[in-house]
Amino acid sequence: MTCAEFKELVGAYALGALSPEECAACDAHLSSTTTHEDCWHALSDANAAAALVAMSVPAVTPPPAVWAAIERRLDRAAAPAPRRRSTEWVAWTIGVAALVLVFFIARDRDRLNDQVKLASAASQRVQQERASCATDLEHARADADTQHQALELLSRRGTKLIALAPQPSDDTTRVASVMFNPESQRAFLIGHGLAAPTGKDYQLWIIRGDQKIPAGLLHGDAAGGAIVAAIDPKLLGTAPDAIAVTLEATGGAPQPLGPIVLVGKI
Amino acid sequence: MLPLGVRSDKSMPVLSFVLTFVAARFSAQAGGGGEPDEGALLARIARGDREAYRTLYERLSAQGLGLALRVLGSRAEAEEALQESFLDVWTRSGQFDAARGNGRSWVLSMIRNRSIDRVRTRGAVARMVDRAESDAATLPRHGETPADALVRSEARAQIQSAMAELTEEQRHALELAYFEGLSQSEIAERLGEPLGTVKSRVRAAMDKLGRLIPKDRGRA
Repeated sequence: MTCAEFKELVGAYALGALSPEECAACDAHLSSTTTHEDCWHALSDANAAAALVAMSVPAVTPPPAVWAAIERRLDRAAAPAPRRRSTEWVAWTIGVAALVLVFFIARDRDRLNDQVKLASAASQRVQQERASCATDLEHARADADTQHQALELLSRRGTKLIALAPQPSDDTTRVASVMFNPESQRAFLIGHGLAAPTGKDYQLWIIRGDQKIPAGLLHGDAAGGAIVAAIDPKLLGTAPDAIAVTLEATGGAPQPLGPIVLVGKI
Repeated sequence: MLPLGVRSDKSMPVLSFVLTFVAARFSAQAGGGGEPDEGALLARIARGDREAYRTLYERLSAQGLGLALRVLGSRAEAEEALQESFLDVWTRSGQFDAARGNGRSWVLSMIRNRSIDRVRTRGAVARMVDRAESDAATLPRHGETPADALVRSEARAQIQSAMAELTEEQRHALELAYFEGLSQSEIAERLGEPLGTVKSRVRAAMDKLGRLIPKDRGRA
């Protein structure tokens, strides 16, 4: 753009009526280091002329509130605000810390819930095992007591020890004896190899004449260990003729149905 | 004495004399004991001088509000634009370049641009609401003597007379450009006139007004 071209446009430039391209060209011309032909004076006059257009409208005195608002804005902008900054900083810090805390709490809550569930399940298992142990202990105590009583009975005078014969006679897998004290009417069966196959139970019988009186099931040790079983004294009020063991269906039967596997005459 | 009687004579030499007088009252008297011109005030404002800022506001706010009201047509919006413009003056006074024009032109152009921006961005919904207020009576401002107010009124009357010297087409093109922010192309489109014609009108109008500018002030 030449100086002459600039001065052609300077009026519209001062009015802000140029296109963006023309305006940019004028700006570039003014910024150029070429020797201008009175361009700056032309611009100054054009701006002053544009101001005349502005001054051609009636002046309107603004209310005091406008100046008051300007002063308030300036005072607010100029006032040092360290406390506000500090407060903001603290507020932001607390806010961020709270968010972090909430994040960790939310994350840990799930983890803790899982841990609580696991601990609860473990506790349940322990309770079950404890109950099982208590049962086992109770059984062991009962067994020990039975064995102790059996030993005590064995040491009594008049106690008979009757070996039960296997049936068939050559079957040595099951061995049992009965100790019986007629005076105290107490008896115990001692045996091993009496772990019944699945679906079966060994059942003890008191035989008196033609009567076959069920005297309980025998639960042998699966590991092959010995068992001691007390015989109900009520069944021994009248001396029995014999004692037998049959293999019955699970739960036993009121009358012997299965084969006799052990039998002994009193 | 104030040249109040010259209003009846609309000849350019007399008008130029009045404007020179107004300039002497309101503008630079560098090195003298009179009031500082707007350029000097802007230089002090750039250094954080609130008193200079207050003086500049008292000197130009009424003309600025009239200008904003003319552009926006809404009193409330015009007052907001005036407030924003003067806050701009406070923050941007260091950018004032006396080589491009005097301080008054610079401040008024900021008010005009702020007002045009509002028209463009918000749309002048309430544009017509307070149109009548543009004719409100001009009251003496704080720190302004009755003589100053008379000079100001007289100056505006003379400027209006100068505007009356323009042809209807020239004045219309000028007003569309300055008060509505239209480019010459947009004015041509609005009026259905060739772009060249509009450019000629704008240039002729600005030349006429430019002849009224006291050259010693323009060079200051």
